[in-house]
Amino acid sequence: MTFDTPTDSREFLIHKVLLDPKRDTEESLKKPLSYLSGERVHKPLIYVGMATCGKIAGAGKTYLAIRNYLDEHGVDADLTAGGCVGLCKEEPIVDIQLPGKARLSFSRVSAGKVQHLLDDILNDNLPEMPVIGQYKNPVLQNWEQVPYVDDHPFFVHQKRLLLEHCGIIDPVSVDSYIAKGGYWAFTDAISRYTPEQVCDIIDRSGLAGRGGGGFPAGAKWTAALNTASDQKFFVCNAVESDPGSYMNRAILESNPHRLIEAMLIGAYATGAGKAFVFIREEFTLAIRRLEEAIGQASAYGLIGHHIFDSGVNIDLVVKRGARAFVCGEETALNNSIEGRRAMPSSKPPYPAERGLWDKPTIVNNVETLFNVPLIIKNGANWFRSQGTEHSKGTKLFTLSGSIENYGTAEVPMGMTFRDIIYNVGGGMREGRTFKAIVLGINSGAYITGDNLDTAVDFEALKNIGASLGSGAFVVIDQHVCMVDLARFFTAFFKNESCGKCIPCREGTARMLEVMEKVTTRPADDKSFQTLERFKGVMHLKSLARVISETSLCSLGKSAPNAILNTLEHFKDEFDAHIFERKCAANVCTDLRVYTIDVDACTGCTACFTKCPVEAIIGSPRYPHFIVQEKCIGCGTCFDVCKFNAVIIK
Amino acid sequence: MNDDVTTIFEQFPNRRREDLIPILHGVQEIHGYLSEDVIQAVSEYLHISTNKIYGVATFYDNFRFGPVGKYHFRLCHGTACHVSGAGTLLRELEKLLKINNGETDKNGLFSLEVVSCIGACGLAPLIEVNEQYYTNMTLDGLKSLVRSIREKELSSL
Amino acid sequence: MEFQIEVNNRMIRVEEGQTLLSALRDHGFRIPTLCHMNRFSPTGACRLCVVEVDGRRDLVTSCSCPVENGMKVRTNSQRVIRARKSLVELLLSNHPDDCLYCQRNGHCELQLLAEEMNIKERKYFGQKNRQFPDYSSTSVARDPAKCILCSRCVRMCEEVQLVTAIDFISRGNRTSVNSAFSKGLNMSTCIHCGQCIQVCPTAALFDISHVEKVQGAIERKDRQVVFFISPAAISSVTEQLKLKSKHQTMPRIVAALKRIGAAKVFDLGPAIDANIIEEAKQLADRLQNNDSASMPMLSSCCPSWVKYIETFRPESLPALAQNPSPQHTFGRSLKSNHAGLVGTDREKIYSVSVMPCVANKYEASLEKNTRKGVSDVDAVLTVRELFQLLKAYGLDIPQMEDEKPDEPFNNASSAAWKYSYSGGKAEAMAYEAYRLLNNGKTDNFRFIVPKNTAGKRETRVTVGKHQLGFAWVSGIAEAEAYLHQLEEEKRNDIHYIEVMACSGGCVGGGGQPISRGFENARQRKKISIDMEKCCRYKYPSDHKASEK
Ligand SMILES: Cc1cc2nc3c(=O)[nH]c(=O)nc-3n(C[C@H](O)[C@H](O)[C@H](O)COP(=O)(O)O)c2cc1C
Ligand code: SF4
Ligand code: SF4
Ligand code: SF4
Ligand code: SF4
Ligand code: SF4
Ligand code: SF4
Ligand code: SF4
Ligand code: SF4
Ligand code: FES
Ligand code: FES
Ligand code: FES
Ligand code: FES
Repeated sequence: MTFDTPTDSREFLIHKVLLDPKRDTEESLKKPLSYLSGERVHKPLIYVGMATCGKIAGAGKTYLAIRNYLDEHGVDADLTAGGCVGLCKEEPIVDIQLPGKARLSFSRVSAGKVQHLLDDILNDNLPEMPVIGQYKNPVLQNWEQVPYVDDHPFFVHQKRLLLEHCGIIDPVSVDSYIAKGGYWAFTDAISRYTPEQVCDIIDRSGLAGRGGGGFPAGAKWTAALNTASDQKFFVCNAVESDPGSYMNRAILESNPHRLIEAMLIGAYATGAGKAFVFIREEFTLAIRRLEEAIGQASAYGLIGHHIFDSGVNIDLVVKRGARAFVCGEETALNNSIEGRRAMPSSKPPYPAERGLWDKPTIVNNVETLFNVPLIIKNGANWFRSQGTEHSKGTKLFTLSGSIENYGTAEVPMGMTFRDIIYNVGGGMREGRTFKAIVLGINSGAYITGDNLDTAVDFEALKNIGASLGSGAFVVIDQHVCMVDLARFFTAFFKNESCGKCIPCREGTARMLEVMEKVTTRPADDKSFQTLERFKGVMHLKSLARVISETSLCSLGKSAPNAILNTLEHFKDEFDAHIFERKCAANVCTDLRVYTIDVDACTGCTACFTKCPVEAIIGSPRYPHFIVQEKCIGCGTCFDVCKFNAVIIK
Repeated sequence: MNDDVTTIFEQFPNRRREDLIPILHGVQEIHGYLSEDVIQAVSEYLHISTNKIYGVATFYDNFRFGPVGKYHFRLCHGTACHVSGAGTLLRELEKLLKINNGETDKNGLFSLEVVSCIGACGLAPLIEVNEQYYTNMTLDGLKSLVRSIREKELSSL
Repeated sequence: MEFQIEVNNRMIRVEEGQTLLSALRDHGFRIPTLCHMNRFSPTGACRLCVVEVDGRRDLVTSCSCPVENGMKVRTNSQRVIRARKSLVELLLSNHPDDCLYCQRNGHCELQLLAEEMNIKERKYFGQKNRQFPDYSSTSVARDPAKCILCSRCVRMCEEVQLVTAIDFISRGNRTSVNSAFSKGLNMSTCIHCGQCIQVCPTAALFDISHVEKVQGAIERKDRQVVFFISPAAISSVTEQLKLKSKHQTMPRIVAALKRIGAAKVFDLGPAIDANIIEEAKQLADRLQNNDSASMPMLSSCCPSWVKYIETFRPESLPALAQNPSPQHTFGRSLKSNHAGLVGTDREKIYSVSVMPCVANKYEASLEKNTRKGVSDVDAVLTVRELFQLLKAYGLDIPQMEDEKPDEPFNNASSAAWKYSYSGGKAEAMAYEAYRLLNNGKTDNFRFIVPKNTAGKRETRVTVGKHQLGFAWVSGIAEAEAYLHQLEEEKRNDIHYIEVMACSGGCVGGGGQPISRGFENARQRKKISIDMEKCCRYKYPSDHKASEK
């Protein structure tokens, strides 16, 4: 038998690959590695995209249907629950690889289509079904007339460094990860570099934090390395609770070993003996896969005591959060790990000097860390050459809202927002007009039509008063009321404020009260209520300024952004709500005014009998009228009128 | 205290403060919520006062102090879902189920919880009922969903 | 190292390691604070102490900011002033506008701040706090609607008293300070020390008032109201009213109480003497019987400490002294032996103690201190309530004529004054135990208080061949740490430990007038020490009157 798949893959991967300095040049390794990584197969291999959003789109049912099909027909094939390529729009996605043939990727394979798909493909026929494409592979036979995945409009504009394996490898197979080059950087780090050197590489690479702050990762690591302490900790921030982003979760579900490798490198570089992944509790699948992956890595001796005889000890533990947005703030996160209420503490001291249990602690975002193995492998200069002058590398976004291709995308720094929407994102959904992009709840300013040509770049964004935010990318269209959106964001902050400091705790509540007055109509609009509304609006700006100036942590500091943004970019909408009491987008239902069209009204009395506050007058068979002073805007009359005589103004 | 809680305690032999949240998670997974007895037991096990535990548990949205209904509605109200109309859905749902966010009805049939971003923003707005997902939800869809549950319950009486 | 910083264009010298707040305050700059507490680590919660620092984009909270050499600070710029004012306005926006009916009217930090910031109009309209008050405890009442969530009480209860009877519950603007399951303080582990009241800036915490009860009793013709006053209360009245001639405080209080209708007014001092003598006997017995299980003996006069032991340290119960506190020594003997003295029946006596302490209210309510459903002590007035009571009758203590406390309980040793501060009782105990173990001879008694007592407050007394160890600690955290240390080091050279739940002893008691920091308590201790000098007898057994 040829040495295609080694009999003891563990032995092989550790000794022939990870610990062998010749591995990079060794030609003989290529073939066995390609089998271990799943690039080549001995029997059909079926991947079902089973990340969360795939599951919600029905991938679970598809998976079961395939399982049943294989069992019923006695087909000898491998079935794998895979990760996510990011094109959520096309879920459920099923990939099929036949021995010797290039891998095919089918879109929207609902359970009902499984029979048809497998009947054809297992007989080497290309089924007539929507296909995303085939994966280029020089040594395998390509399918005719099937486009390449790489040329798909969603993928062709992306630069997939972090996502390279996502949706392609089996997320919980340490073998396939190593076969794809995984953990090579880590073994390099511990065998070739000192911790100082690793910190230096990261520092020179220019890697900036992706968790929102954009703080240079290398500087943080160096600070922790240089703080003397008997104990240090390395924490991955996988809280990701910005409503509208889930790319951290997607990459964790799709490639958990990459995070483990990065954390091992980070822990080694900073001298941390213990590492935690602090992960949002609702990410159950990511947690499961991460824990499984940690188990595998431990079994391979990559985690634990005296790793590969290097004298390095690193312990890695998954800590589940318990749902609180503020847990994403690093000091709050540390408090939460310690088993306390997640209230931020004032900085300084920074966690890199005094964090968990008062010991030096590095806190890095998932995406930040995903860059680390690449940088170690390819060098600081290579990374510096990616992106723009001020921002290196790529950036992940969760595209959602009224954009055609929604999902997770990775774009090079420097791409403009226009290009993201119209190239990667495939433009606006049909019938929608672009209004703005919301870059996450924390970000400074909306991207509006005026600055759509701004590049994804820390500096460029700063210039327009925005920040890169978490990676949420919600595209807003004309049907969205910006005043209502500002109210929604304010409500979010009010609910998520930890309550520690006065400006954020009380201020967000007051701002919300003002916004509610603006977007609703009191039962009876007495003069003092109007006065309160005006007074509230009048002080809104100064209130916003105090909140952002004096709050303890960035949650409070960024809480007023939505309102300030709306006041700046959508002032006319705001004014219409305040003065004319009108919502052009027709979202603020409370502001609606109902009247009866005398010509259309037949006097059927249906509305008359149903109005809960007897606001309608009229006699049978004669047109009815609404007494505006009494009307509470419940909309009942609109619903019951069969003659479309009730109109909304 | 029941054996199942004791088995959870056994996973945390060091009785450290940092074990508190994992223990609460474990207990809630078994019991569905945190009862006074359970908090008392955790307090005795970890030597942390019940006030502290209650203070920690009430900080986080994850912990509940009463059982959820037979049908647990989780409505996503993240940014994407909001701009796709989750706010209207919420108001409608509160009307349909006759309970407010965070409540369980008297019969223990329905409970309603608003969550932020379930993680499928493209399919917004999104509702989850007992781990079944309903995507691109509309007002009418909501009404018929609740109606079908009610009918099912009535017919099984 | 010394640093120079520039404040409002003035150069000042500060010490490295200082916070900006303490540096500024040292130089007389007025910086408002709400969450700051001396000797506690800063939390940075209230944001009121903000100042402007050159080179920092945001305002900086001075309480949590270490000084840096050459930093330029502005404490009174428009920006700072506006921010502070807005913060207070935000606090007021949901505050019940209740000052006229409020416990703290006139002493409230929030009210003072509003005045200081010149707030004359409601700027933000918010929904008012609507939470129900909690009167369930026998000592401490809570009105969460007035709570501004400064966390001072929470930190006090947790860090100094190790009790955590109260904590933050819930999150964001739904947060409240409460006990587990929001059940009421009576269901919590509260030890009634009242320290939380002391640190609360508003009327969110106050005592369960007995003032009206006392007024009612005074008005009833068939009741003889008898007051007995603790020396610790006397020194704080002296301190609060800044009375020059300290020994006149008691006579004037006596006169005032007589004016409002007291049948008798006694000095609690003799009961303190009796308490010490009794406790010393127990100590001598335990020493002679070699009763190591109950060693070192722990004092039992502080009801909070006793409650703490019962709740959190039951293994130490055998070590606790067996006698009741002076309040109950007195109350019980008054009602059982001395009714005749008051000239009436036991049932008709209404006994009122005036204490520096709220825990005494709890103590008075205990089953073991009642007979046939009536407590030995019918009402307990804190010093704060004493002022309220006299004010209600329009009496002003300094204006009163002197009047002596009633016989026979009017003559105590200096130990009665020592009792009010940490370490005082230990000394008197040492003396009495010495006397008992040394056949009544006390000539060679020496009690040396070590000069530098930081963290270790103990001394040794030589009796014949034996050395006896005496220690004193105050604040539960300190007591726990000390006991823990003794256990760890397996020491058996300490025989008696005086424990007071309140830091510094009763001079810093939970029932004392609200004071910020420790200055007032220090003042009260000084007054007590001065008063000791006027006593004819130094130690309890030095005069017969106290040997009842
Ligand atoms: C309210 C708030 C929420 C945050 N949420 C997250 C989060 O979900 N994930 C994250 O990585 N960083 C979050 N951050 C930023 C973290 O505090 C921290 O800066 C980050 O984890 C550092 O990692 P980085 O340097 O790799 O970006 C949040 C910050 C604040 C103030
Ligand atoms: S700004 Fe808000 S979240 Fe941050 S500490 Fe203050 S109250 Fe808590
Ligand atoms: S909107 Fe409602 S309240 Fe107004 S007229 Fe119609 S039914 Fe009556
Ligand atoms: S229901 Fe329509 S048609 Fe009938 S009375 Fe009302 S407005 Fe007129
Ligand atoms: S607590 Fe202070 S501000 Fe509030 S009502 Fe009382 S006196 Fe007024
Ligand atoms: S000062 Fe003014 S508000 Fe106060 S009692 Fe007099 S009239 Fe009334
Ligand atoms: S009285 Fe003492 S023990 Fe009770 S809550 Fe207040 S500080 Fe805590
Ligand atoms: S009760 Fe008083 S001390 Fe405690 S948090 Fe509230 S205001 Fe502060
Ligand atoms: S130390 Fe004094 S004032 Fe404080 S609780 Fe004890 S007896 Fe009362
Ligand atoms: S989960 Fe598969 S592409 Fe989104
Ligand atoms: S809520 Fe305003 S345009 Fe509507
Ligand atoms: S906002 Fe609802 S799924 Fe993301
Ligand atoms: S005193 Fe500095 S923040 Fe409260």
